[in-house]
Amino acid sequence: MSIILTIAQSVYQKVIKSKILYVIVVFCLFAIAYSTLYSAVTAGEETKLMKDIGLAGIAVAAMLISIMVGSTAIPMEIESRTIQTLISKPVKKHEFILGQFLGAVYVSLLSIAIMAVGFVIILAIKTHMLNLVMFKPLILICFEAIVLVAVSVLFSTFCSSMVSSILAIVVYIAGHLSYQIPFLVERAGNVVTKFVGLLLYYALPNFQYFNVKAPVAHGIYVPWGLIFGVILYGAIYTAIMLLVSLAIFKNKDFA
Amino acid sequence: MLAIKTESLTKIYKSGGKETKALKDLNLQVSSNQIYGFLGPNGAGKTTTINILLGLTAPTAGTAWILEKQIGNIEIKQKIGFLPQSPYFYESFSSVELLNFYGKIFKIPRKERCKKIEELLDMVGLTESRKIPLRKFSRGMLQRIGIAQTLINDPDLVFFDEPIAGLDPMGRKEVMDTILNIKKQGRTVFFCSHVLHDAEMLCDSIGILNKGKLVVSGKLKDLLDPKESLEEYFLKSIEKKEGEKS
Amino acid sequence: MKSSKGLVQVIIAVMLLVGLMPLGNTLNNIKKDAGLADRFIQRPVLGFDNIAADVLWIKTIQYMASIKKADVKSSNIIYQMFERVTDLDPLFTAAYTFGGLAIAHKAPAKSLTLFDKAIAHNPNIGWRIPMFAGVVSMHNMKNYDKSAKYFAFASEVKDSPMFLKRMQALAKARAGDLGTALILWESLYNSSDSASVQIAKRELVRVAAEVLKTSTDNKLRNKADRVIKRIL
Repeated sequence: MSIILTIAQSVYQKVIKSKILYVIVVFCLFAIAYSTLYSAVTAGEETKLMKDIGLAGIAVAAMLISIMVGSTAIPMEIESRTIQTLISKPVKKHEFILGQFLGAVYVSLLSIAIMAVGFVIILAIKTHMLNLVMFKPLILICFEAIVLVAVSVLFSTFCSSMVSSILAIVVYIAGHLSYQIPFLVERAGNVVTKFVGLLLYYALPNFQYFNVKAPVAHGIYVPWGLIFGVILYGAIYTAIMLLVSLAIFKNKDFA
Repeated sequence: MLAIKTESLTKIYKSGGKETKALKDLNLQVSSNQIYGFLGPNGAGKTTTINILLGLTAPTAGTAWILEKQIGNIEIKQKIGFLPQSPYFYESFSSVELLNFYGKIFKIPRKERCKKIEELLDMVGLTESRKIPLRKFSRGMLQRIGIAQTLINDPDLVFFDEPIAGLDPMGRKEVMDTILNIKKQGRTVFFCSHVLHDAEMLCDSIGILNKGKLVVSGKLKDLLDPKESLEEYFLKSIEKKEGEKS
Repeated sequence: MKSSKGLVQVIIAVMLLVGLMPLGNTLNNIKKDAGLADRFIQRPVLGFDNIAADVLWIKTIQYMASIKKADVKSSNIIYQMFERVTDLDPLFTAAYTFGGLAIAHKAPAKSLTLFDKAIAHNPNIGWRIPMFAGVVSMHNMKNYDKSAKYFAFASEVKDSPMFLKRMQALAKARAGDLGTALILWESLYNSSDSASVQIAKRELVRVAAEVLKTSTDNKLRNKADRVIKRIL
């Protein structure tokens, strides 16, 4: 476990010196702060706009950061050959993968936490009240980021960083559209189409589960049962991605 | 004790339907407490051998032992050090951060680790540059920090892959002195090189590899005639082997 | 041994994936029960429905501000814009209110379409939007039956103001359903709301007089007669 944490810490140390991370976080906070100036054009809906921009901004930033860090951690080690020095030491391959994954998750969650705190503070200043209910969608954004990191890590075990980033983005888009598959499959007459459709529906991560931004922004109650259920879903899906990553990485050569 | 032993070690690379035999039935034995030079022209299979021994790539056939434990045993890596050819380290790390990182990998306790880091930085002359990021290091400085990380765990067996290549005369002398010191500390050094002059000055034993096959192996003083240089012997051995083949 | 370990990992992964299916169905059921189910007509904006609705909302406001004089054409355009906003964010009640009221004069039917959409997508819509729908039906479309239904819906919302019942009664009377109007006004006359009692007294007399003047239903005429005697 200590080796996994040591590798995770090294990922954090490497990424934290990357300027792109700060650009994304600062830009997101700037967008949230800037949204407070929109009152003249929102016809009285500025608080709703702020909440929407805040949650959407954090979700986009979280997606970019988690894919960026998750897709580059392993390929960079392989391309720069630093993995050779590391694997020559008593580091098991699964420790390497889990360390890279945990490091990427830590960076993503830290970034989300910074943006979330900034968002809640700006919203509190605007509305003169603490909107703690905003943490419900923010918690799910965190778990969505964890799943995205796991997906990115999986692709990065056999692709370059560029290709795995693109594939992760494709999965992100598909995951947000997959909720439509049951509706379409219902109307399909062909058994093969139905089977393939359902296979795809269950194999892709259903990111719509993690999306409670709309109801929370409108003040609609989101049950905690849903939140915990989605967290469980995210945890299991992440485990699946990591297991497959470990299976692929097992027989990989680094020379 | 044999530090390294291989039996019929073979590695075949497949690329685009074409097969390349990088190693052919390598049977190698290296005793401990010596400097063993693994020599050969470029593309002979020296780095491939090291990569197999360290678990960076799997052999196609055959097997090998390091410190009498079969390769693949993760525990044996606690006792080995490795400096790759053109060492690549995390550019954003400083020397201290790098050594600290590898020290943690070896689960060296904090106090001992800090002490070891100071000693190693002093040994390789990088105490002044401890906080500078590695991306600002020269080739020679990178080589020195590479040697330091090789020794962080007090290894019994050290692998160096072309440790002297690309260094200026000062750098070369420093590295050679370090290798001799490592041997004096009772460790075994296995290093690959195609710079025969340096190998002649350092090595107790040598093995010559050509096109994946071990041409000759043994103690340097037994192999060379008194007036013969290693370079002459090397060329003679390779030409003789190629003559036998044809 | 190595490849079999990898195979075991893949098998466990597949088993976990199979286990995700019932969990996914459970999550869908929880969402449905909480009124958060995904809709077939939901626009595919990758979970950023709200922000897309907000952008369109701002554009719509800007468009409305640019109109010098409202006409049927501009009202239709405004309707389409609010349709898109509310397709993206069906919970955006301000959009329904704003849009419905903005086009009520020139495109009342479309205004009602927006209000109906609001009621359909928002179980806790409150009383205001149904009230606006009732007013548009009554004032702009002269469809008193429909307006009575809207006012009835609005008056049944918890903590809704009493005047909604009065509006319902008024609408029923104007729709020609004098019998129901009588019942509604009588119930308001018997209520504890003093404003309603005053207005109900006046309206009961008016409706009862109308019944006696125009109705051929003896039962209804007797009822009207009793009401007048009771009040006067």
